[in-house]
Amino acid sequence: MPLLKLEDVVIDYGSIHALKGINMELEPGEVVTMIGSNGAGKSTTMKAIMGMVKCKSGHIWYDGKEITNQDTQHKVQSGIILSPEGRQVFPRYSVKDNLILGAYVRPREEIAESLEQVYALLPKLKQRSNQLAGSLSGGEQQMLAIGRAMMAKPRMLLLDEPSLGLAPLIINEIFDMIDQISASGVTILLVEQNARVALKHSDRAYVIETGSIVLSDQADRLLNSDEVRKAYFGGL
Amino acid sequence: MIEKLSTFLVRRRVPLLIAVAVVAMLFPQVITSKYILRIAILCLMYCMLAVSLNLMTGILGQMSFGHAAFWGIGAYTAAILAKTYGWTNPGVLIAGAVVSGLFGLVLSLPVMHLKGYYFTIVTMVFCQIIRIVEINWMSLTNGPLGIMSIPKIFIFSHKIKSQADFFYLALILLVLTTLIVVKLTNSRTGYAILAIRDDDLAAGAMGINVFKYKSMTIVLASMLAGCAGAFYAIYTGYIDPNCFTNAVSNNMLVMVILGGLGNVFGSFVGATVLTILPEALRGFSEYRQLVFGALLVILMLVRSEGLFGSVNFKYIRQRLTLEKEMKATGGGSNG
Repeated sequence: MPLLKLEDVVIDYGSIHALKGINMELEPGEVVTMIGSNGAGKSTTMKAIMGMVKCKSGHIWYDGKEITNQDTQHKVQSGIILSPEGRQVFPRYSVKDNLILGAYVRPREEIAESLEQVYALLPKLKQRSNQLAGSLSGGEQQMLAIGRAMMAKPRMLLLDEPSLGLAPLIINEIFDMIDQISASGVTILLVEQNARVALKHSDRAYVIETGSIVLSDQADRLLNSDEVRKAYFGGL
Repeated sequence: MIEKLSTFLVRRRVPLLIAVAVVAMLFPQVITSKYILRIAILCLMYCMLAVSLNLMTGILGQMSFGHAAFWGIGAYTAAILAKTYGWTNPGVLIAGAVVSGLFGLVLSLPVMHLKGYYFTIVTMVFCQIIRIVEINWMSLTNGPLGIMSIPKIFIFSHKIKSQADFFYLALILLVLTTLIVVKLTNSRTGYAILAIRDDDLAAGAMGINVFKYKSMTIVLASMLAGCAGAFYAIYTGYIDPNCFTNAVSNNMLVMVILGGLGNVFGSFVGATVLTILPEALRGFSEYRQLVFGALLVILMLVRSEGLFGSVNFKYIRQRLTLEKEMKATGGGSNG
């Protein structure tokens, strides 16, 4: 049974059709990438899954239950977590407080344990525990954003452009971390502009164009397909 | 300099708090000048207003140009209850807070999805509307004539009438306000509110109910302002719609920004400075406003985030504790 399933999801922003019937399935433990150009509807799909925009029609299923248009809070509680685009850490909070905020919906007694787990995943953050998040480098902030998402103990982790504006070396670090998270059994849906790296670290991928899915396949096959190469790897 | 001062304040917080408490207790006993006591009482009340506005603007991050409206609603509630219905008990303070809170709730619901400038404009207009209602609803508010000789209240059958009585009452209200706001900001709920201020999308993605916390904070801030308003009505014994104009709202906002958005201690400093300064500058007679304005401009140029806007006392405290621990455990390894 798929952990997350989208069925003909349609979303309108006023008269603009952002999603024109998206179908998607994620099996437990998979890493799935959505690739597509700007404005294709990748972030909107994420927001629809999180309940941050209302679906006009269609259904979203999670763990066998329908969650279409359920509010975000409940989704976070049931283990669907989004790490939003552009990092969005809280700059005036310390690293530790940022992480604690990530566990907002969880019982207080479990926070200390999760904190240790996240620090084990991200030892760099532990050293900077008392530093203000705004003083971290871009890469560290992205790690903090993912760490914060991990504090909520996700089963389904949505990562919106984790490599945005980062140097190639740092991007590799981020993706190593994503591999580690995946190895621990978390299902991951990834949105990426950086299609090549994302596909290398994914099991499957969906290609999305102007609100519709135009292609879906195993990641390695897409990586070698001429069509995708031309459109998303700059013709190399 | 502010950083040093802040560190000093945190390090010596216990003796400083005791000193402030002693001075505050003795102040009305030692100072007998009515003029000075009156300024002190207004200082305390403005501190209360600035702290409550800071909750809305600095802590929740919703810039409000209409805080005087809530202050006025509280004042009118208390005045009408005391004058027309003969309430002469502390209930008027609570009623002022409750009615003002209801207005806060009513205001917060439709503007919930508005952000930044749009919210600000709504608060500005709200202040105007409330004033126009105060002017025109003759039967309830006595219109532009205002409500005169508002009866004083009794607390435990003690009539609150001398300046010293009012000083202590204002002090108690301010302490309560501060405790509420500080406890709130350091709580889990407070973290959620601060997260909403910094990034409501990210806050929502973490499962924080943005809608609920936003309206809850606006309601609380308007309740605190309403309570200050009720105090003002029974203290001055006379209110009219001209007390609660947009200019007063702006003045409160300047207090908060001067002290530093989000910092409660900063609001005290801002409110105190901006209440005392105009009085202290009376010697300059007609140049008063000029000097006052120039001082503000200079401050904003030198320190645009306000005096204590970039100071986080909690983190200073954590740092000091860490330093202490380092010294205790073998010490000197890191200097």
